[in-house]
Amino acid sequence: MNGFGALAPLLIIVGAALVILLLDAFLKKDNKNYLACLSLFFLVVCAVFCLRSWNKNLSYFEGQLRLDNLALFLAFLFLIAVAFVMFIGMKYLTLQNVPGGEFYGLLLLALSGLMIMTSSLNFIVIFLGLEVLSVSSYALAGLKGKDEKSSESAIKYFLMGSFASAFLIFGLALLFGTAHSLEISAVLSSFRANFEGQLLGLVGLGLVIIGFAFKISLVPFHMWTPDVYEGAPTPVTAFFAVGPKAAGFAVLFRILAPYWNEGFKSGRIFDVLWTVAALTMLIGSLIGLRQKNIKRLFAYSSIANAGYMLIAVLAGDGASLIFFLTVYLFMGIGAFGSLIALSKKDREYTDLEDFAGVGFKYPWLGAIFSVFLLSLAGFPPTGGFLAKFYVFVGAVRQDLTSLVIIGVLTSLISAFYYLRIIVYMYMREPERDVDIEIENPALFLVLFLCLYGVLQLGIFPGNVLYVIRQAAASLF
Amino acid sequence: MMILLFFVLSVICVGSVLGMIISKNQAYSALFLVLAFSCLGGLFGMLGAPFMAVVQIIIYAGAIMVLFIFVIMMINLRKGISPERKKWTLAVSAVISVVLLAELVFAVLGTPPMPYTAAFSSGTSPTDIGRLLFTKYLYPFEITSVLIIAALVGAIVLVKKREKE
Amino acid sequence: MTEIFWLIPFVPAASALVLILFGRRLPKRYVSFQACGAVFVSFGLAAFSFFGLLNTSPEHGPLIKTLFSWIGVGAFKAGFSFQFDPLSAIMALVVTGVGFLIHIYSVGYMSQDKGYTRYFAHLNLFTFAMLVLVLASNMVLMFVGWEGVGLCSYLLIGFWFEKPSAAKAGMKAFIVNRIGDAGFILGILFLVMTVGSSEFSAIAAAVGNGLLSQGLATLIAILLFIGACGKSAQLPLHVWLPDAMEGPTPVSALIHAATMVTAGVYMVARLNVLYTFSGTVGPIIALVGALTAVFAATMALVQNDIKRVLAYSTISQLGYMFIGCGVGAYAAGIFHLYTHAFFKSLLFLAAGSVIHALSGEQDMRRMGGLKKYLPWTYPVFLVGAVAIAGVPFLSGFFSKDAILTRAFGQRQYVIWVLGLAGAVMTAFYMFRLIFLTFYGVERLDPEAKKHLHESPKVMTVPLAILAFFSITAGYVGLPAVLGKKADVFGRFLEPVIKPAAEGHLGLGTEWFLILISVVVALLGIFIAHTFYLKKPGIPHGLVARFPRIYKLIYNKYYVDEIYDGAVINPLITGSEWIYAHFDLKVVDGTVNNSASAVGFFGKILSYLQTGLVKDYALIFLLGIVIFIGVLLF
Repeated sequence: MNGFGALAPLLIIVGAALVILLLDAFLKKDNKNYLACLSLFFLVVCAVFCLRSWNKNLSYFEGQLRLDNLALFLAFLFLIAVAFVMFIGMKYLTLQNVPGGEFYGLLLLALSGLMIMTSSLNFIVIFLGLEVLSVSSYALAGLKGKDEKSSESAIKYFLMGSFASAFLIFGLALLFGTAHSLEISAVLSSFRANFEGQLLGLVGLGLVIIGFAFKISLVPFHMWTPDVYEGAPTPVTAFFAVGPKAAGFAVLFRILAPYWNEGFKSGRIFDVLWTVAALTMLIGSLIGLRQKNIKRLFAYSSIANAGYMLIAVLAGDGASLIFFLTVYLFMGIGAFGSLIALSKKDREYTDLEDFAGVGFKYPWLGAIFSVFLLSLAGFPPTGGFLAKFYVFVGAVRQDLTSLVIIGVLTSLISAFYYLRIIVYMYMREPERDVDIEIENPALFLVLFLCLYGVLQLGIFPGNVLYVIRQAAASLF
Repeated sequence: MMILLFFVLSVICVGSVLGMIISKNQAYSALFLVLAFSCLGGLFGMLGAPFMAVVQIIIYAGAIMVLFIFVIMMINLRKGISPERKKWTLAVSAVISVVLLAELVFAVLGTPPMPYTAAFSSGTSPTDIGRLLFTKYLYPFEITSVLIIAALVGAIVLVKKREKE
Repeated sequence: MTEIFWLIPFVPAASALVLILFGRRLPKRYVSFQACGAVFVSFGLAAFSFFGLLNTSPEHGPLIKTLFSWIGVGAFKAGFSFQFDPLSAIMALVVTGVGFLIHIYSVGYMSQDKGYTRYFAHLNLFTFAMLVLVLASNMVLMFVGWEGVGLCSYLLIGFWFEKPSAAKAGMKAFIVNRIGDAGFILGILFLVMTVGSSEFSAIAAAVGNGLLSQGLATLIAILLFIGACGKSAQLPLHVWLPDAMEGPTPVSALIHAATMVTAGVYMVARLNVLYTFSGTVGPIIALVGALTAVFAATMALVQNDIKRVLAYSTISQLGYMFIGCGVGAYAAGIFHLYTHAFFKSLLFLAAGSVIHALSGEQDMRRMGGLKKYLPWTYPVFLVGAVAIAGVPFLSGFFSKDAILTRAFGQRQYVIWVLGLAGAVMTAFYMFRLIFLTFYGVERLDPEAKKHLHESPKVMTVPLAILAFFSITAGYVGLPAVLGKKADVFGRFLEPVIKPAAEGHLGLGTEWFLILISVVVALLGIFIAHTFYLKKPGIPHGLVARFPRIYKLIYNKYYVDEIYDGAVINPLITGSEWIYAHFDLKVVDGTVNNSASAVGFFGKILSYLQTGLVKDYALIFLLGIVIFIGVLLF
C-alpha cells in the first residue's frame, strides 16, 4: 500500500491524460466541455489521494519518489491551477478555435511533469519531470490554430528550452562525476567533504541552477518569456505563469536551502544569485513600463515576481516562498482569466488601448480585474501585499537588507504599470469598439474563486499559513 | 595507441560538428552529424562503455539521422538557409564560446583526478544496465515513457494543425 | 460599551460597497442620503466612544479591539486590530465630523455631475480608509489605510478624467507618493526587524527598555518621515498637491486639506516616543517644516488661481504642524491639525461656493467685488481668512501661537523666525485673496455674471457650521499664560503624548511672544490692504522692479522643471533605451518573411532565421559564461 499510495496521484493523472486523449480521438463530439468535467473528476480523485498522504512522508524507489508535505502541498496547488486553467479555457477553446482534446490531455501531462519534479529528491527524476513538463508546454504553446504567433512561440520556446536542457544535463553529468550519485543529499555531502577542490562540481551545480533559472525566467535567461506569453493561447499562458514557475522554485529551494544551512551562504553561488535577483526585479519592472500589450506586460510582471521569489529562496524562507507561490496562483490565473473574459469570437483584446473605458462598460469585470491588478501591485489588504511583505520581512531578518530595498523600489515602479491598466479602465473614454461575449459561467466561477483566494489570503491568511508551515517544515 | 585513436576520433568529431554548422546544405549537415555521432560512439567504446557505444551508433547515427535525411529529401528544401547573421554577432558568439571553453578547462584543471571507485566499475555491460534499469532506476525509466507520450502527442498536435489549414 | 468603536470605519465601508455594486440602479436622492448617513452614523459612534473615553481614567491604557490575527511571521504578529485612545479619538472625530459636513456640501456641489454615484462611492471609501489609518493599532494596518487613502485620492483627483490635466495630476500624485511610500514600508520593515512587532505599544516599550538602539531609531524615524513628506506634501515632495486641485473642490477640502495630507503629522505624533528618543531627527523635521512653511507661503503670494493659493497655503500650514512635531510639541502640532481642519476646509468649501457661483471660474483676475452678490459666502470666507491669518481670539491664532512659542522655548530661533516670516505672508496672501475676490472693481466675465447666484442652502449651512468651529475650536487649547489648566486639549492627549519636562518660559516672555504674533498677523493684513485696496499700483510696480524674482516664484522655483530634467526625462530615455535594445519585438521580424519558406519545417527554419532566437541564445550563453565565471574566480 505504501508504494501504491505514493504512486497513486501520478498514476491517476497520467491515466486521465490517456483517457482524455483516447476519448477525444474516438468520440469525436463537437462540444469538448465534457472533457473538462471528466478531467476535473480525475483531479478531484487525485486530490483525495494527496490528502490521504498528508503528514505520512511516503517514500518509494529509494527516495526517487518522495511525497513529503511540501510535495503534497505543491501538488495541491498544481491541481487547483490546472482545474482553473481548464475552466477558463472552456470559453477560450470555443471562441478561438483551439483543439480541446489535445488541450486537456497535454495539460494533464504537463501536470504529471510538475508533480514528478516536485516529489523527488533525485536529480535524474527531477530532470525527467522537467522534460515531461517542457515537452507538453511546447505543444501547448503552439496549440492555437491558424495563428502564426502561437506556432512561433512554440518553436521559440522549444529551441530555447532545448538549449537550457542541454546545459542542465551537462551540469548533471558533472555533478554525477564529482559526487558519484544524483541524490540531492549525496551531492551536498560531497560538497561538504571537499568544497574548494571541486570546481567541476561547482560548475555542475551552476549549470543545473541555470537550467531551472530558464524555466522560472530569471534574468538573463528570461528572453523567451514575453514572446511565449504573448503568442501562446491565453489559458496556456496562465498555466505557464503559475505552474512551471512554482515547480521550478520549489525544486530550486529543495536544492539550495540545505546549502544555506550548511553555511555556504557566503559562497559564490549565493552572491551570483543575489545579483540575479536584483537584475530580475529591475529588468522586470523597468521594461514592463514600456509594454503596450497586456500579455507581454504580464510576462514582465512574472519576471519581476520571479525576482521576489528568488529573494525568499536566498533567505532560505520556505514558508514565505510557498505563500508567495500560492498567492501568485490566484492573482495570476485571475488576471489572465479576466483577459479571457474580455474576448469574443476570433478576437482577443490584449492591447492597453482596448481597456479604455472597460470599467464602466463592464463594471463587475472591471472591479474584479482591478482587484487582481492591485494585488499584483502589492496593495494592502490583498494577498499580493502580504506575500511581498512576508518575503521582505524574512529577508530583512536574514540580513538581505539591500536586496529588500531594491525589491521595495522595484515593486513601487511596477505598481505603476498595473495601475496604468486601472487608469485606462476607469479614466479613459473608450476609443475602440470592445464588445465581449460573457455568457460563460465556468469562467466567472474561476474568477470568483480567484478573487476569493486573493482576499482570503490577504485578510485571513492564518489557516493557509499554518498548513504552509507544515509543508515547509517537511524539508528538513 | 589508445591515445592516438582518442585524438583521431575527437578531431574528426569536433571537425564534423563544425562542418554541420557551417554547411549550407541540409543534407550535408545531416551526414556530418552522422559522422560526429559515430565518432562519439567510438569514444564511448574506448571508455569501456560498450552499450553506450552501440546505442550511439544504432539509434542516433542509424535511426534518427536516417529519418532526418528522409525528411530533408522529401520536403525538398533546395534553397539553403544562408546565415544572414551580422559579422559582429558571429564574432561575439565565437568569443563567448571560447571563454566558456576556457572556463571549463580551468575547472577541469582545478579539480583533482577522481579516484576510480566501484560506482563506475559496475554496470557497464548491457546485462548490467538492463538489470539496473529494471531495479534501481525503474521509476525514472517508467517516467521516460510518459515523456515519450508527451513528445508524441505534442508533435502530432503541431503537425496536424498545419494539415487542417 | 465603548468597545463598539471598531464599527466606526465599517459603516462607510459598507455604504461604499453598496454604492459600487448597485449604485447605477439607485436613485440620486437615496445615494446622497445613504452616503451622508453612513458618515453621520460613523460620527455618532465616534462621539459616543469619545465620551466613553472621557469617563474612563487614563491609566486604563488605550482600548484595543483585535478583530482577528492577520499576519504572523515567526515571532512577529500583526493583528487586524484597532486602537482607541485620545489621539485616535480626536482624529476620528475630525475625519467623520468634517467629513460629514463635506459630504452634505457635496450633495449641492456635485448635483449636476454625471458621475454623482461614483463620486460618493469613492468619498465613502476614502472615509473608510482614513478611519482605518487613524484607528489602526499597528504600523502594518496603518499602512493599509495609508495606501487606501492614497488610492482613493488618485481616483478622486482624476475624477474628471475627461480633462487630461486631471488624469495627469492623479498620476503625478501617485508617483510622488510612491517615493514616500518606499521610505514608509522600509521603515516598517526595519521596525519589524528590530522590535519584532509593529504595535504602537510594543514600539514604545522597545524604546523604553533599550531594545532599539538610538542609531536604528534614527534610521527608522527618517525613513518613516520620508513617507510623511510624501503624503503631507513637504519639501521636496510637495509638487503633487497643487496639481491635485484638478479634483472637485469638496475633495480638495476633505482630502487635500483636512484629513489625508495630515496623515504624516498624525503618524509622527503617534510615534512621538520614537521621534523623541532618536533625538537628531526632531530638528530635521522642524527645519523641513519651517522651510516648507516659508517656501509654500512665498508661492502662495503670487498665484492667481483661487484654489492654488489655498493649496500652497495648506502645504505651508502642514509645515507648521511639522515644526510643532520637530520641536517636541506634538500636542501643539495635533492641535494645529485640528483647528486647521476646520478653517482650511471652510476656506476650500467657500472657494468652491465662489467657483460654483461663477460657473467654474477659478482665476482671481476675473473676480472682484463679489461681496454684495454672495451674502453668505463672503462672511464665512472672511472668518476662515481671519482664523488662518492668526488674528487673536480665533482658532488659528491659538494653535499657531502654541507651536511658535514652543519653538522659541526650545531656543530654535531660526525656526521661530522662519515661522514668523511665514505668518506674515499667510496673513498677506489670505487677505490678498479676500480683496481680489470680494472687493474692488468687478472684473467678471459677462457670461458668468448672468448666471451669478448664491449657493443653495445645502452648501451654505455646512459653511456656517464650519465657520462657527473655526472661531471657537481654539478655546480648548488656550496658551499657558492663562493658567496651567487652560490647555484642555494638551492634557487630554497626555496619555499618548507625554508633555515635555522643561519649564515654562517666563510670563513676560510669553506675553511678549503673543504680542509679536498678533503684530505679525495684523502687519500682513495691513500690507495686503495697502497693496490691493489703497494703492493697487504697488504690486505691479514690484513685479516690474524685480521681474526675475517674480518669475522665479510664479514658476514655483522651477521645481517641477528640475524634476523633469533631472529625474523624469532621464528615466524615460533610459527605459526607451532598454526597450529598444533588450526587448526585441516579435511581430516586426518574423511573420512577414515567411513567404520564402516551404511547409512546416520551412517555417521552423524561417523563425530561426530572424535572428531573434539566435540573439536570445547569445544572451543566454553570455549569462552562462558570466555565471560560471563568477563561480570559478
